[in-house]
Amino acid sequence: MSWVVFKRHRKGLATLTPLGAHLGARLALWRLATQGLSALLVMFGVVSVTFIALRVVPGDPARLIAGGGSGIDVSEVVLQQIREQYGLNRPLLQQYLSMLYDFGRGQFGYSYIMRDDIGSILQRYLGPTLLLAVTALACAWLLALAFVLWSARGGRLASALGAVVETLSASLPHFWLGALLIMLFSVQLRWLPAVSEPGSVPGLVMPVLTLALPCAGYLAQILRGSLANALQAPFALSARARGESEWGVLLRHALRHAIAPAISASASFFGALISGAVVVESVFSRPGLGRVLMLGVDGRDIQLVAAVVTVAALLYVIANLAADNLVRWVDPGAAHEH
Amino acid sequence: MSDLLPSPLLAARNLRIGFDVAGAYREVLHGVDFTLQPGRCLALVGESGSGKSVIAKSLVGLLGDAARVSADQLEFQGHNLLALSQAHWRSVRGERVGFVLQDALVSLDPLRTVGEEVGDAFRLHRRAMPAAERRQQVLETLARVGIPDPEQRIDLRSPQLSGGLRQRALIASAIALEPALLIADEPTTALDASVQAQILALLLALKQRGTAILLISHDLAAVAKVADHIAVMHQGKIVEYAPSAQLRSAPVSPYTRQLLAAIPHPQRKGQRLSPGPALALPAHALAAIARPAAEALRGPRLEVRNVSKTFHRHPAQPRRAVDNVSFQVPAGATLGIVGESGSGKSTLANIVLGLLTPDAGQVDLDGHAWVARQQREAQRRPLRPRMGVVFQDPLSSFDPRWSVAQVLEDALLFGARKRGPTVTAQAHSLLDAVGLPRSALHSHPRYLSGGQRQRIAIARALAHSPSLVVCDEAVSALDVSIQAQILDLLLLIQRELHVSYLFISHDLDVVHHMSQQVVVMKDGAIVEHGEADQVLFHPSHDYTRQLLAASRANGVSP
Repeated sequence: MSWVVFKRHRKGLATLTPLGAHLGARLALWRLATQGLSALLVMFGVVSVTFIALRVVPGDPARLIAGGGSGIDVSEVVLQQIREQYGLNRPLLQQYLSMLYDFGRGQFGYSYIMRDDIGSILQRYLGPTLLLAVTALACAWLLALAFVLWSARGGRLASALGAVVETLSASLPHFWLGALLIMLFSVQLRWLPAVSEPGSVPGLVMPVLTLALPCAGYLAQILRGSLANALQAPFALSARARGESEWGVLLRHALRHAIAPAISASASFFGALISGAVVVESVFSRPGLGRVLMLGVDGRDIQLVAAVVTVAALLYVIANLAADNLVRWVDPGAAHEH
Repeated sequence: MSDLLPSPLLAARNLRIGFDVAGAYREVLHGVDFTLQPGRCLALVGESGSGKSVIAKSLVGLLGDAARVSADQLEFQGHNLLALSQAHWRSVRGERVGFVLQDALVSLDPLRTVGEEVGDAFRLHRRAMPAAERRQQVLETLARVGIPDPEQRIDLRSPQLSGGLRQRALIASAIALEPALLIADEPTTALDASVQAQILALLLALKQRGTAILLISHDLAAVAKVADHIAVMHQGKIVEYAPSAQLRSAPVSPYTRQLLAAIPHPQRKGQRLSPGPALALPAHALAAIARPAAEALRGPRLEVRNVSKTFHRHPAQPRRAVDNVSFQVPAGATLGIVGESGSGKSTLANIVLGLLTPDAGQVDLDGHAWVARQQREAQRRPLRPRMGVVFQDPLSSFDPRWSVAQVLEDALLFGARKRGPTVTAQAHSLLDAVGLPRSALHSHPRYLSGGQRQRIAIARALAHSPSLVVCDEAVSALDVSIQAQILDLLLLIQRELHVSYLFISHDLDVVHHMSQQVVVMKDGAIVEHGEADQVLFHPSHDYTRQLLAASRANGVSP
């Protein structure tokens, strides 16, 4: 993503002067460096907070691993073995540093609930969740764009109605929407399977819709607001005065201005989609990171929860980076900053 | 090209325009007549709200759905504009009528390149034209409006261009297909004097090549150079319609005379600009606002010593915005600062206001240390009431949710004073002093006119009987007649209250009218500093002479 932006940016300034080209390249490099550095800092913060959460949880972690803590009496010998195995007998600082080091190179440890290496669990379940979230986001964009463009030309009544529909759809809870879709499409119409098998396209439809509809509502709200502003702007009047049609003003001018803020917001939506996946994967019995997280929380497998949280944070950081650079591509020169 | 030609390019007879607002019809243009011949220029001049922009939009059919246009005759090239369908309108716009709006920074799409914006005309009206030829045509159009090295600039977006080039690009987008009529709505209003002169010269050149121009402006002096005829508009009517030279030398209508008198003129310094009864501050207002005599100080109110400020926004290109600037503002006097945009005036204003810390140098207020590198806001705070400020856009300097009463009370309550009847009485005195009715207290700045808002801003600046008021482009966004009223008011307040002004503007004549001393800034440094008359009539620096020449080219003659 960023190299495309880099090239565009350089092209824009290169036409000025050789100094401009040099400056443009330096600015782009500088920006990439700061972006990468701040992403690293965020990840460092996430791992540190996770570590503190792990150790601040009341109770002996070794006892938790051994089996629940309460009721069952675990011998001190077994606990000592567990401490040995998980490095819990080392000083906190050392534990913290080794967690940083391990997470940094993708070693997340062992999940006693799933009796598997966490790295290979993530490898298996990350794909289906990513597929779900990315498809849902794409679907939300399509729905929102189509809806806003359709209602933008319809005058005051259409946009008032549109705003109501958007607010309604944005406030739909995932668990309710999912159950409703199952009732409609699986139980009544028998068109789609209620259980979403990995790799099945029909099985993906309802989970994606469940995630995409509320997100599309939010997106459409943002798009409609900035679209209305852009349609009122003097440059839109100028375009009309050149003989541009209303559709031309909408598609060629206003839409581009409307898209930038919606892209910025999409990064936050992506985070919401990942957390929405926890609910949706349960409703549709779909394997994925969300279910893994549920299992981990249920079984108090703190190591597993920490790993999933870290990966989710990483996805979120990547989504933000992508959105940042996409906005710069749509709106180079940062036209509105000065 | 005589006006006796049988069929003019554009003819309007009894043109009336109104809008349906919330079910009620309101007419804003009450029957105007005008004609325009090819290769001629007609200027519509008047205050905002006089109906001139409505006429412009009616000629391209862009008034919107709520508008109703009627006329005994409204013809362009022999076609009845009242009977055009939307599809016909689109073939007129851009092809036969070009339309240029005020501010190119927002009137050109900031996300699209100049090439795309100017190329639109060819794309929309010459659909068969291949892209390569379109680009060639765009390059030629850019060259035609005097943009140097078009190949270097065709792929830039408007924010990357300077103000002058940007406005030229906007004009290029309107004249790409060589329309018979160019409508220019306040094409020079937001520009520095020298850029304004360039744009007017460009319009003149277009006219000489045969394009008819309908020029719209609030500034009589600015249009006089280009226009053959001037129609002065007031409240939806044409009050005077005459050849340009005649209208300026022998105006008939009292309103035209008033407009001409409103323009600050080097020979009329010290005279009233606005008409009306003799101005005086009401005695009780004077008593409420005047600084107690005991506080009167010797020495300058403001002393700026060797102030510098460098910005490091781009790591590779530090910019020296203010470079070793020193001056003094004596008690009860005005120091004017003049310079073009980017000269560092506003950075200097922010330093003087204590909003920006300089890298070096010091500013003293009433003999107290006010701004320096080590000075903290907490040390400045007790002195804050001594300094007021009036910005260019008062609306954005008021809290958008506050009423006038809240704005004034907030200013009055700074420090030890307590809320209560006295505060309301003081707010009333402030409104009396700036010539607003006391009922304005309950209105909202958003619903006031530009001139009224600026009066509120002045009232707020006076709340604590300041020794100095900084006016940063305080009249630059106002129509000339409103500007005249505000300038008269500021001078009256200075006479009665002995307040000092630091008066910052890009307009040399306004600065001269207001100031005893004038400072000319260029690239952050002072290039000339002297008595106002000395700087205006006998400038010693080339840059001052350039500024003067540009200002004179725009119509004002000394």
